[in-house]
Amino acid sequence: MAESMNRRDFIKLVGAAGGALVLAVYLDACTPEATATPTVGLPSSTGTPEPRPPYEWAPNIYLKLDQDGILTVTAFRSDMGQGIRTATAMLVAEEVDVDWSSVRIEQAPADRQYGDQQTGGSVSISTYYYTLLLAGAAARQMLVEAAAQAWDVKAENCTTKSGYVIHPDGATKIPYGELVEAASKLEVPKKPKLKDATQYKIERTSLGHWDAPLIVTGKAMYGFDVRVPGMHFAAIARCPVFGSGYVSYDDADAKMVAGVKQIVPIGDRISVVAEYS
Amino acid sequence: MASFELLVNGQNYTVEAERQMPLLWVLRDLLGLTGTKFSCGAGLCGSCTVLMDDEPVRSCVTLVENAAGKNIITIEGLSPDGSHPLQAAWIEERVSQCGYCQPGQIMNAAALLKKNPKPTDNDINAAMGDVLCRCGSYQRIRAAIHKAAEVV
Repeated sequence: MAESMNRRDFIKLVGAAGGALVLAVYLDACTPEATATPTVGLPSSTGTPEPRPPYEWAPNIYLKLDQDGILTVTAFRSDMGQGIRTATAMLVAEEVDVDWSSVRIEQAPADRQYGDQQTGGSVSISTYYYTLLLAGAAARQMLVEAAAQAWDVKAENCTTKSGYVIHPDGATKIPYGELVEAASKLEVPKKPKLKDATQYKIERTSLGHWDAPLIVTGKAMYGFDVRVPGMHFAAIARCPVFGSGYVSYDDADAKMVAGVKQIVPIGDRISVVAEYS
Repeated sequence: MASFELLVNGQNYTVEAERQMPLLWVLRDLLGLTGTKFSCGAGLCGSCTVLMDDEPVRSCVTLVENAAGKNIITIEGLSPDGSHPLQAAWIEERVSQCGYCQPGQIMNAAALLKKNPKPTDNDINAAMGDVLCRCGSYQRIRAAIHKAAEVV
């Protein structure tokens, strides 16, 4: 999209392209990134059969399912309190068809695959609504296909409910966790079929922020809370008068402070680099 | 640099720090307790509030030398498992939006309830009014404190 495009043009373009644009985004993002990463466990020395390796399946860049049936949704937009981490996860969870208690959310790294990852304009859900539903539906379809093959029945006669694929007999069922390995070997469907929206259980509800328990215990990680080995911090001293700068500076006292590593002038400001924030 | 004995969340620590180092940076950088947030750095907003001998203090303007020997409780130590009535009420009332100021809000509210287990709206306004929330969660903060007060 041209950088000079104004908001009005943007609205017209999206209006004209409709759902097809979104679907194209989804398929581009989905197909080349399908991964299945078995983590090999420690070799057994007792002669007993090795346990099944832990298995995590990521049919597309928006979600992964593990052998315990835990669905981890990748939050690829920035949450500034509007709840977008929760809202995007709700859409994926709805179509995968798991209970909300089985959902985890991980923040995406900065990655071009996700497109624009900033927050602004209140467009995350309107832009990615079908992308996320389809991402979830693709995973569900593959889980159903894997179960159908195991049972030797037709996939279209199987259903899903809360993390299980249900056999055409209506009683037999397999938890998703036991299907992820088989599902990961199947082709990612190009045109996954969405659930009947009248059957939605999560999408039209109000659940509250998934992050709330993390926030109230101080465990929620903000940018300023990230620590990496050898990390230093920089604080910028600015002139208190708007539009002005400094004439000269004396960094003798600052250099005496324990942990201060360097004083770096940057334009009309002074940056102090230190071991601590 | 000097050595300080600190009691934080029931645990004893010995830290090497400048006497003038704010408690906030001791907590965040030396002890790795990043639940306490930096915001204004000048004692104006309350995001960095922790308890010191049950009193709410703004850790960004509290020097480590004045915190030594005191009983310091941060958001990480309010309850072992996030089950403090204020934490439960904060979730039930859906107080948090971005959540950045909420550790400070909750610790300030904890200090209020220690002194006044059944605060009125006015008590809450007086005690909480200068802990700032850019998301504007004040109404829900008040509701959550009332809810927690039913349990405390």
